[in-house]
Amino acid sequence: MTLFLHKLSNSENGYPKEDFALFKKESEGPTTLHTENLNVSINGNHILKDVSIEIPRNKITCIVGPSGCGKSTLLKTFNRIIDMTEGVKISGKVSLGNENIAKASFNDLTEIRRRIGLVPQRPCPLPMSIYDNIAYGCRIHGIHKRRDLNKIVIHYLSEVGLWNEVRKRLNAPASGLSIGQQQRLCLARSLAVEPEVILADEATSALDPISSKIVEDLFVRLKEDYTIVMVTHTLRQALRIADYVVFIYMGQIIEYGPAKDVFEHPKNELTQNYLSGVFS
Amino acid sequence: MKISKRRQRTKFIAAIIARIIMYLSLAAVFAFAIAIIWVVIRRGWICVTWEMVSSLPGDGFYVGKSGGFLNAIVGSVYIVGASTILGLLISIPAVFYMNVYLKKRSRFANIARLAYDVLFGIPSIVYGAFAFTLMIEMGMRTSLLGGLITVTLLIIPILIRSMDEVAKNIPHDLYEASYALGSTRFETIGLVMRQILPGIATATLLSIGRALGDAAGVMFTAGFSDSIPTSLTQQTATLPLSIFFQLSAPQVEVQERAYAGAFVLTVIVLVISVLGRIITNKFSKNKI
Repeated sequence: MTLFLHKLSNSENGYPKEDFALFKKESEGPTTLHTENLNVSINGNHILKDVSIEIPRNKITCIVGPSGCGKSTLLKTFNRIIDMTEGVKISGKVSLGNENIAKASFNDLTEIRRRIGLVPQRPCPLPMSIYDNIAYGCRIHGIHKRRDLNKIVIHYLSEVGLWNEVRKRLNAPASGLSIGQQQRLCLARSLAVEPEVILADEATSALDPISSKIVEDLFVRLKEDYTIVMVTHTLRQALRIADYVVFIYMGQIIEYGPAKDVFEHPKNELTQNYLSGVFS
Repeated sequence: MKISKRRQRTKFIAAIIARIIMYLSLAAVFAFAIAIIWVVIRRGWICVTWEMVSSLPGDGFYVGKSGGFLNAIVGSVYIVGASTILGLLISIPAVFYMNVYLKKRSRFANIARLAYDVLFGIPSIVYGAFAFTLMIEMGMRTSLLGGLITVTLLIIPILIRSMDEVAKNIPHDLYEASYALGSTRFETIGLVMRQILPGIATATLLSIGRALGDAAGVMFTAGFSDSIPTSLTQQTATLPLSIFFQLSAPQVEVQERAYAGAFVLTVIVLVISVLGRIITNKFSKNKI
């Protein structure tokens, strides 16, 4: 099979650049995700309080704030992975296009989660081969033809710059890759089901500086086609790649706007203190 | 910080003592296993003949005349094979339900776990007596079917508890990764299955060992017979019972045959265990 895949990847940059459009893209307009009066509580603790934001399309939006302020909760509410935490209550509205995510049933969630990919903090390859890790998502959403799957696997492994590193061992276990490679594999896995939004939860925090630079650069390149929402702990990273910044403190949105404005002329005193390192 | 020489020496000695204790306990268990296997092989190997494993008991077999215990070998294989398959069919869904569908701190799952722990500790003679009472109520006679149902009941707690311990330790991240791609719970089971395959294999091997070696459970329910059963309603012999009957005979040559039976039993368990390990290693290379 590997040989066959080699033949397929004969274009100049190592992979055929094509748009698969296997899944229909539904939402249109300048924003993709938005929340209105979103409240989330876990076991009675009010974590997010009246959060209303709009995530602009094809931009990188970074969510920053001190530890425990609700950054990850907000991110995980977007694709309702937060449901896996026990005792969660969500009220208000979270929308992707016309779909209200906050009220979606478990069946609707499978489609919503396809449209909103997640790159976790620690990479978690699925217990299967490198090839199957990418193909898995497509299989569960109904793509089974070997030819289509081959194309998808090559395309997205190339997209994350992993193709040349793994082309000779596509059938090897994914757990044998280095952490940095695993993280890119997870990204490719999320991209393979053609999401519109990518959520990244401190996606570079477990990586070494070189791998994290590669992943960062990837996000910057990917924003042409995807809307990216990132939670990050390092302000410098936000400074480098963010187009928009959301500053959360104690579950409330303190400041939100284009990265340049927020970083250079913060309006709120809390934001100023956070940026200048008074608290973190 | 400077660590004093004395403190350093204490640490060193503690490490050595701990290591010696661990080594001794491992060696003790190993020595027991070797001793038992040695007795079985030494006494069994000289007695076992091709006739014994390939023929049915002849007239007067139990007083020292010719024949073999093929009836018991086949009976045991039937019961163990069927009950292991039945047991897996029941326990795998139960384990998945407890771990994928129910929440981590679900009361139902915990009560179920407690129940299986209790069942684990119940001696097999009680299972035999329970099944026997039930069979009388239902008008069933001792039969292959009765025996294999009893053995299935006996091994289900072993299967469920040992698979459950492995399934409980599956990283939360794996579930998250699966759901984040849009998998349903049912599709996630496929992933969990790959991850717990070695656990399923261990559980299966444990339960095969228990089922193959158990005499009390089948004594009332499967009965004993000198021929190979051709239907589920016929009585059947099993190796442990065959060994028991021969050991309790007064003639020395009959007693020796019991060791031949024990030898065959040990070889079967050994072969199944080694094969099981090889097969699982082949299929679990992708485990994270």
